Amino acid sequence: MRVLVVGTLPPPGGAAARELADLAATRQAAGDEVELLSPDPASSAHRTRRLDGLFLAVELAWLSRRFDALVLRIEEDLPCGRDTGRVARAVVLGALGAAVSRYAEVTLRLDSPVPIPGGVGGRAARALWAAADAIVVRAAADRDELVPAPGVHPDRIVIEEHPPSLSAGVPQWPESTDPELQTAVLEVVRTRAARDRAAVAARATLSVPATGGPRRSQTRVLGVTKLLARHAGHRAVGSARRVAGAVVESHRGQRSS
Amino acid sequence: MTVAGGAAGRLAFVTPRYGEGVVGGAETAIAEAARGLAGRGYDVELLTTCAKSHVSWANEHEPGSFREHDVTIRRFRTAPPASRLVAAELEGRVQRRERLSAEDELAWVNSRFKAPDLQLYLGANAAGYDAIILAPYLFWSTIYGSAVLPERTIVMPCLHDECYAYLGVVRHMLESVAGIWFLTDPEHQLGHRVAPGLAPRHRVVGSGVDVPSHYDPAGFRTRHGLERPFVLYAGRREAGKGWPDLLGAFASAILGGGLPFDLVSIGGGAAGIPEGLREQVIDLGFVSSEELPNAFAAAEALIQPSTNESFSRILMEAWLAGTPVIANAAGEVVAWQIERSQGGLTYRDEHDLANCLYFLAEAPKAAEALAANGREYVLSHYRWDIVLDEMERSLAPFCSRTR
Repeated sequence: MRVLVVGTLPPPGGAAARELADLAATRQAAGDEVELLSPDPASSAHRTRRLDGLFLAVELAWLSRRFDALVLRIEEDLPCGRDTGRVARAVVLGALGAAVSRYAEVTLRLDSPVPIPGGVGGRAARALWAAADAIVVRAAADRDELVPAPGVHPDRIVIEEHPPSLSAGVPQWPESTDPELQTAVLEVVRTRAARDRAAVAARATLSVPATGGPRRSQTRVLGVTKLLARHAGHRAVGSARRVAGAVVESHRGQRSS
Repeated sequence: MTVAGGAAGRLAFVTPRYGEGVVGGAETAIAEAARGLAGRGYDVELLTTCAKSHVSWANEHEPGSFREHDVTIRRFRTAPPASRLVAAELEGRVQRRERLSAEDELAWVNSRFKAPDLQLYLGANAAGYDAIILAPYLFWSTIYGSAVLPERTIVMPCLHDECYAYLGVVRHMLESVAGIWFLTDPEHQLGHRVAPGLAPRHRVVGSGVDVPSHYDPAGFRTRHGLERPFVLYAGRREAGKGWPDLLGAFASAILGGGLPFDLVSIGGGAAGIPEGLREQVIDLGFVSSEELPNAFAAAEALIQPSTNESFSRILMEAWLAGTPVIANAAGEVVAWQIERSQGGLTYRDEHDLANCLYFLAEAPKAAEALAANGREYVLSHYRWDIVLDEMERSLAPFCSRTR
């Protein structure tokens, strides 16, 4: 599956940006062709574009010819900033709904609180929420805000809380003058790595929308071993295989339950 | 015997491979030790084979002798194993740690290469040397050579904690020779585990590293077309050295995004880079010994994924160049070196590795401080003059007999 992942991405981008990058990595490891689109020219994304306001909708509509799936992180200024007026917001969300509905699979990931000024959009956003196969929010309060909105399928909302270490903030590197520099750096490395392991495990269980029958993504990810077989003899994909293995196991569990 | 020309002693170094293009820490260490002791007045010969490759053991050099760096080099032909089928069967049994009979163990030693001419020469001339120093432990030339005149033999085993180390022939060798030179404390401890009756004259002598007078990192990047920052792997590209594992871990790390580094690999063996990694992993193949220090200086860090190390010389070369090291925590020796030096970091899996790389990107001054610790460590412990002093102290009882 060709997947377009849109949002602010590292570096530095913060914890949520790294989470989005982790998600992209998991999809790629599972065999999807993933491209990253970011509004930040300094990011590591494949493409960087202006994505505020209508620019996002235009870009997504244009790229829909090349991608099957869309993962869109809705964040401040993407697409609506604090200064976006009511009419402008309605136009932007309407256009965005039309653009995302061109994708076969749509996942919307919302920062918390939901970063759409003046509420989650009313009728103008109906097409946007209706097109979403999964809406990932950070807190129950965000879910409660979304449920009454037109077009929202409540059973497609997934609450994904930040891992505790993310909520606590990313530990910072010590100063070069730290008398126990090596120990201090290793402590940060181990803490961050533990958080990353937890994030990968969480991604593995969140990669399938909660509702509906088997979807294309499921059958494709289960075929990941075929992709890996292309590299037979290359243990270089060993790590990817482990990540993919976790995803496959997760899917098996869901199918048998 | 008599000592010719008032030399401090007459020494024979025996190593299976020697010369430009030979990649191997033990081979490099023994060649430099030979040159160093020759420079201190010893009459030194280095006996080796005509082989370059430790896989084929084909005779690629001409047999014969010549002088190089005040050392007489004598090359002897290798002979191929009698049966590759038998070799494969024995190798499988050793790998599975089956208990082999003494005959089967010797058959295994013989199944890779042998150098009968070298053995004949050593047998005829051993009495003319004050000491015979052989390395590394698992090769025919060392195991058979150590039996010629064990009372004058020193083995520099370069032991790794692997199946081969626990063979009976290895234990017998380490218990029957006159002396052993270990490179590190962890290797010394492994020696006691492998051979409880270790030769009494054993000591940790370390291994020396030449200190380059200058580095040219910018020139290295230009000559090899390297435009992005990179981390470096230097060594043989083979499973035993952790290369495939590093490729996997690096792939996983960069998939997360945000890391500005390429992985540059230098050394022998097929790099086998998967299609999807070819933009981020660059294989430079073999680089000359003159260019090698520049590679270390140009890198943001050296990555050492190997767990099979008895010293890990490349760590020292990286630290001398002002480059920090990121190493596999499962490698007992490299983890020991890194902890003792405070010159780098260790990783346990791809998540650790990714965050070590983030550290390089996000805290370059702290990374520089680690590298500075490493350089100080090398200069304090592993300059050749320090190591040669230690070797001379070990050689004194051997050479004094001829005074």
